[in-house]
Amino acid sequence: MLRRAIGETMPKIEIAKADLEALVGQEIRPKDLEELLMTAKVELEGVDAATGMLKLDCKDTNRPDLWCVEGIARQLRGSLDREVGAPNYNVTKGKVVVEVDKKVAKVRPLVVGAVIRNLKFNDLAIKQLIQLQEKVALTWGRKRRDAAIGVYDFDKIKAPIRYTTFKDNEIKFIPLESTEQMSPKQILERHPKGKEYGHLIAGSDFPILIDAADNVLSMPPVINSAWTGKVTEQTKNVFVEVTGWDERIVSLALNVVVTALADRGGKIESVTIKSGKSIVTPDLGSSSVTVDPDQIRKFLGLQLSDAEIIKLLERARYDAKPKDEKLVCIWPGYRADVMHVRDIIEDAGILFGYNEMQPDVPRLHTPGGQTIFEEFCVQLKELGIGLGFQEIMTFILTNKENLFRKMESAVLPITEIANPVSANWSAMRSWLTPSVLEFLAKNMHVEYPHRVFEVGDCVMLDERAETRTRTLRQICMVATDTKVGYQDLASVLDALLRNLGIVYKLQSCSCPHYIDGRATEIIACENSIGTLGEIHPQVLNNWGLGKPVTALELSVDALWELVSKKRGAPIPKKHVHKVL
Amino acid sequence: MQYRLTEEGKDYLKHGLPEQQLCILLSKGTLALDDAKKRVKSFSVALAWAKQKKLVTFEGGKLALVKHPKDWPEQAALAAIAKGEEAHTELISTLLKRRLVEEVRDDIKSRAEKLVGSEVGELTSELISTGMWRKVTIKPYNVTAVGTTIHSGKRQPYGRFLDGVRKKLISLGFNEMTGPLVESEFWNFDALFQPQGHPARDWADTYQLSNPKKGSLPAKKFVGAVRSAHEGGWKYKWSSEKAAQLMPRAQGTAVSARRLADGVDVPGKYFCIARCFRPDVLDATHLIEFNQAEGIVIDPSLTFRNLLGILKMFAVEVAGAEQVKFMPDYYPFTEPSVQMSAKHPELGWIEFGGAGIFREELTNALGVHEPVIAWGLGIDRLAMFKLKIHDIRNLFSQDLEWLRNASVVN
Repeated sequence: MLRRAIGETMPKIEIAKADLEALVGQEIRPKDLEELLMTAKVELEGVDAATGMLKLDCKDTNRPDLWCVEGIARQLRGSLDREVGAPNYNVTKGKVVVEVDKKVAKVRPLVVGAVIRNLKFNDLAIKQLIQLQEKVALTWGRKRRDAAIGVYDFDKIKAPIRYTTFKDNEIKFIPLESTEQMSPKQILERHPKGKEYGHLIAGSDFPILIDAADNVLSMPPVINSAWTGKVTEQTKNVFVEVTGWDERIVSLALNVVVTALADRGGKIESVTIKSGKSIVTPDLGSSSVTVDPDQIRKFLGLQLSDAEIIKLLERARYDAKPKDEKLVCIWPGYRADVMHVRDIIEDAGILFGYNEMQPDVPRLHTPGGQTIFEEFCVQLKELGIGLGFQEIMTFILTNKENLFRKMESAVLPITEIANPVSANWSAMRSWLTPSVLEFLAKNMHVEYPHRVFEVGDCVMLDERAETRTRTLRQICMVATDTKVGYQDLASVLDALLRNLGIVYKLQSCSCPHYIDGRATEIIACENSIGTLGEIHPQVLNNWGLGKPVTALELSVDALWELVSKKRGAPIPKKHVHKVL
Repeated sequence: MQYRLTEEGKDYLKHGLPEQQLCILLSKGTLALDDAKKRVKSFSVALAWAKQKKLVTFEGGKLALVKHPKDWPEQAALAAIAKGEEAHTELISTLLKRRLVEEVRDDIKSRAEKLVGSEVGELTSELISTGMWRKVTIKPYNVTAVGTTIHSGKRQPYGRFLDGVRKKLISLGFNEMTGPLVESEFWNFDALFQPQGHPARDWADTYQLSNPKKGSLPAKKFVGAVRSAHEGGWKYKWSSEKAAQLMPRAQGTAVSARRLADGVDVPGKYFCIARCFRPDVLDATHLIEFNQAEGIVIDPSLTFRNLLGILKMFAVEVAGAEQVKFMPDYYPFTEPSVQMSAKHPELGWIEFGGAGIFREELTNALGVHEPVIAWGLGIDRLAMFKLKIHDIRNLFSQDLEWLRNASVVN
């Protein structure tokens, strides 16, 4: 979890404080701003010194309604008790029809739309609209794949609008940010947006929104036309459409945009989508769930009266109506995140204020403990230090070149990354010695002798394991200096194993990364538990190492097993690994 | 080399070598073995040497003299050594073998005596044991010169820091959990109620494996419950194929999910320090792999205020903070979710913890019906602050010099 939680795709937006205050209807003191913004689940990251814009992190990736100044202001009006309950948006029945051609089914099947009239755009409002469009399409619409939003000057459009496909040679239009008539393929090849999003429609049929006068509105989800697809301060009425693949996603995206525009004084008019059956969009209908106020009290750990709970919910922009000792909670159509009573409880908690609650450490008596395996590893590290070695930590990710070729070893099947960021980090290591040699190679300028060790994890393929792999823990110790030899580490090995009470014998072995005749396999209870030897000069050359190196690598899992056996204890499982 | 007589040597010098004594005795006539035994002091030694030198025979129970040498070179050598004169090397080695002489190894006293009144550079064991140190002056050193550099073996600072966190959490009553480095998407995402279409599951946000590609799913009851939680909550068709795909673990919460499915104690408190992998470009603020300290707390009585209490406890106990600040947050798997900043006396405000109460869709599917608080601590940033590191790559420092110079006190 945390800062590094996956899904840290949280939108970052900028809004003008004056714009926010105008929409909220009051001034906000700077010292109140941060705490107040929290009620809209946005974090004040900073203020742009040059423009005075507030930089915000929108925390809730499931609440696109809170990714614009209009939505934040809507919540803040509730938080400040200026306007409470679920906002009500009127949708007037409009005449505009979008005719959907069957041909779009395989290309980009869904479209929804609305007309917003009576708008007065200023520069800030236009910027907010563009920002909202972009952020919703990026995060909510998964980089425009699931939803992309188009906004057009409605007065330049002649209804009905058609949503259909064209072949490359059948159509040309001037895309936004260009002055040149281009075919769909030319846009994909030459226009910056075409290059960025072209892969979403890279077939032979291109989805096109076109009006009754054969003016192209856009080629979703890539680019609008320069003629209709631009909103200026002169624009009075707009047509908004959302295309995509997922009904829930496109509908919510449309609702978020139209309610934001409505909050700026726009009047929402519906559009009829004709695709076999007719549907009317936007659908701003509300939803509801019944909540037991006791559950809210118990869950938050707060003594609240029903009236207080209702007030909190209303300030969180729900309607909350008592019914048979319970509350019916109603939320508006721009939200699709409420899946569980918990979602409502959280909103009540936020409006109460997390910093207003008294933290209460639960008195749970549980004995603490670390896995004895981890404890064993700490002991091993202590021995390593006692023998005069510096502990190091290296990455588990590496590459086949390091694991095999530089070690003069045959390439074996290992765990490989399908989508590496860099070829350097394209596999998970199966042994530790290469990582430690790599470390030595980076430190040739540092005063010798070098004696370093790592106790680290590696991953080995295992067909029988649930994850087809096993996590191994290994220890690797190396010594390098102008003069260093087999005997130096043989003594270290002996000290290490003697201190663990492990009886062992050595058996000459032949490993390609060691010098022949100067390598040994370490045997305990008839099993090989590791190797020790002088690194082969060819391997030293491969790593660019200039001084002799002696290394040992042991399986910590095997050591652990031997130590446990000796104690007569059952071998405790290191990880939860269900074998098939 | 100097030699001196042993007690036995002194005896033979006085009374003659045992074989010499035997020869003198036999020069008066043959003798029965037993008689001879009674009359020569070290009879067995005498007989052995006399026989070796072929001076006597033993036949029919009687000893008889064969040859009576005039000169006894060993005897002469003993006399010479006793007077402090030179002796022949061969004879000395014979005498050494017969343990009649010994080396004067440490003429401790005399050596020490030579030093009396002088200034010594070295306090020797002779000086100490003979007490002669009282009669010498020990030469002063330049004690303002710094010692020559040596490098002690020691822990890697980040490793030591992580062990400190581990110990702290154990002292707070948490039990350590571990999990595999390669996970199925099922445990990394699906069991955590992260929908399969979630942006976080994108190619760009998490690693996937080209080998091995697919693992096994857990018991049917978990798979079925997770499927219906997803299909009911997120409204899409859940794919078990996708869930079986393998990936390097991307979040420590996967370990908590496994723990819940394996069964937990109630009340229970668990933690793990988990190595996680994300496709970031390695730079001063991003690591390609990093550690997360995460865990869970399970009890039927838990409330949201308890969650705040636990986070505050971590801030005080683990980060040494004085003040905390909470703000709403969002994780797909918790509701409510909260982020905590902690104010450290020297470091100022740092974003230190995140937590939430696992969604019921998640816990129910894993067979747990009590509230489960899930928490995580921003230990990498705390480690950077504590170890005074500005570049996050130094947590896994590849610079031996830096490691050698890093202080063990932070």
